Amino acid sequence: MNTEELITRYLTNENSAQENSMLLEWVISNEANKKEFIQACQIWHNTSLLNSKFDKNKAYTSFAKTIATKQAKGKTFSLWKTISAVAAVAILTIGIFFVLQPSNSNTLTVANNSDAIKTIVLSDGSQIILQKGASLTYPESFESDNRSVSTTGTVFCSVTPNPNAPFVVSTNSLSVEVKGTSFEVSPSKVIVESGVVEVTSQSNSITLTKGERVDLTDGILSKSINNDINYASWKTGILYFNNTPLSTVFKDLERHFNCRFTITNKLLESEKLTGTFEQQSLENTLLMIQEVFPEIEFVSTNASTFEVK
Amino acid sequence: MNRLKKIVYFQNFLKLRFFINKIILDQNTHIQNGNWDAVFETIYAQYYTGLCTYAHSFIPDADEAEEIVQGIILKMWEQKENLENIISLKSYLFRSVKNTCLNYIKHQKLEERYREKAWVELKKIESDFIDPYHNTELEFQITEAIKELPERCREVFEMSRFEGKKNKEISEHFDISIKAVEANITRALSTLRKKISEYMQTEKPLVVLLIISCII
Repeated sequence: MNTEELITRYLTNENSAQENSMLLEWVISNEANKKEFIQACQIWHNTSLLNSKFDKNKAYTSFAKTIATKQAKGKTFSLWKTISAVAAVAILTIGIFFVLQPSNSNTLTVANNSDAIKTIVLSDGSQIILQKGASLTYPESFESDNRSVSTTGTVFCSVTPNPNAPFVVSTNSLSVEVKGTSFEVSPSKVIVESGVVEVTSQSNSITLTKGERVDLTDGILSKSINNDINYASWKTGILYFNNTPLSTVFKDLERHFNCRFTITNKLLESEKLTGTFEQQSLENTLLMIQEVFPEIEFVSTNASTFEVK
Repeated sequence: MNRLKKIVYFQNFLKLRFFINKIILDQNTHIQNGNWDAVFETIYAQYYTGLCTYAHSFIPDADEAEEIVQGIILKMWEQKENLENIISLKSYLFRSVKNTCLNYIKHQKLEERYREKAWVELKKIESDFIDPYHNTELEFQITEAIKELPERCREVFEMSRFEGKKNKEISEHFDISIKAVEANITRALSTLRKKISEYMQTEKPLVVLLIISCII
């Protein structure tokens, strides 16, 4: 059988296991083969976009029914939730005594030495985004009941939910346990974007929900509401300002662009800025600010230090 | 920086503010108002078919693919308060589908197919190049190229792709052998590929962080 036929049979899901092995061998043997395979797949999937066998109205009706039942059962549901949560904690505690076996899969370490951010997708589909200078140590594949990674520097984690396998991120000073959420970890703070996580340091442990942050000072964790809307700008490349005092604006810019501003004109500190900067260079950002506040003058003392007059 | 350039920058800046605010507002007004019925109605009306088709490109069984998408939306509904932090609902949904499907393939061992190492590997290679959104230019080129296929070849291919028919069903419909169905699909794929290879990107895509890139 020639490879074109093998590709067709693969796409129509007719290949035997042996035929798939043959195809895989052919695909990975050189770049030209891989390209041919990918092009066939792309044509296949771009034609299926026109395929309309999925019935959205029927699906919505079934969804509406399900949530109506769920809402009606709301009370019993949450009672059961509490009971199962208690049970889960009990089982987990017992489980820990039995399941403390060392991992035998390969451990990998990735460090981000480049200026751009780096995204690592773990074997369970979770994504870890590394800021410049951060590193991540993780097993090549997770065991079924335990997902542990360790990091240095600042990372952002989007965790694939799996109630059977808690996800634990450890740094030198603290550890974060989670069951499916996204959050940012650096050695001295944790900020939660969605979901619930538990942060533990040597001295205490704190539960965080979305929009909250915890800071580590002198080994003690303290919780607060996260007011810093630009905390993830290194990841998104987006800076939001909503009636933000210029003093804060420049602080966010300093962190984002890794530069320094000295504000000599004190009158400016009370002025406020509203706007969104998406994927802008430092130069463009400063020009835009200047357009809003023509009285501002930036004097650069060197490439990364500016005086604001 | 001369005056003209400055004006252009200023106009861009205003445009940027306007577009971003508008897009985020449109998407999030319902969420912020807690108008969940409207949010989920929109999800079904605008994205459901696309999400299922996308899931189906990972999961060979259409019903299973649809179940996975329903599961994801239901889960979103259960944790709907988390949605407030989502900047782009659309990319969040498609990302969830991809992650869930890849995870499903990995962990679902009941189906024989998923225990096959080679098949899972091929899916992984393929998954990086499946474009979840409409690639209008490519789609247009493909539609045009399909029209030029020999008649039987075109009929078989369209039945397979647009009606989602299995090879066996097609062979019965045209009263030809399954081998002949496969041969026609192979011919269609090969002809289409040669015609439009220039429109396709086969380098591994970069991680795209730019959500609204067309503004400036």
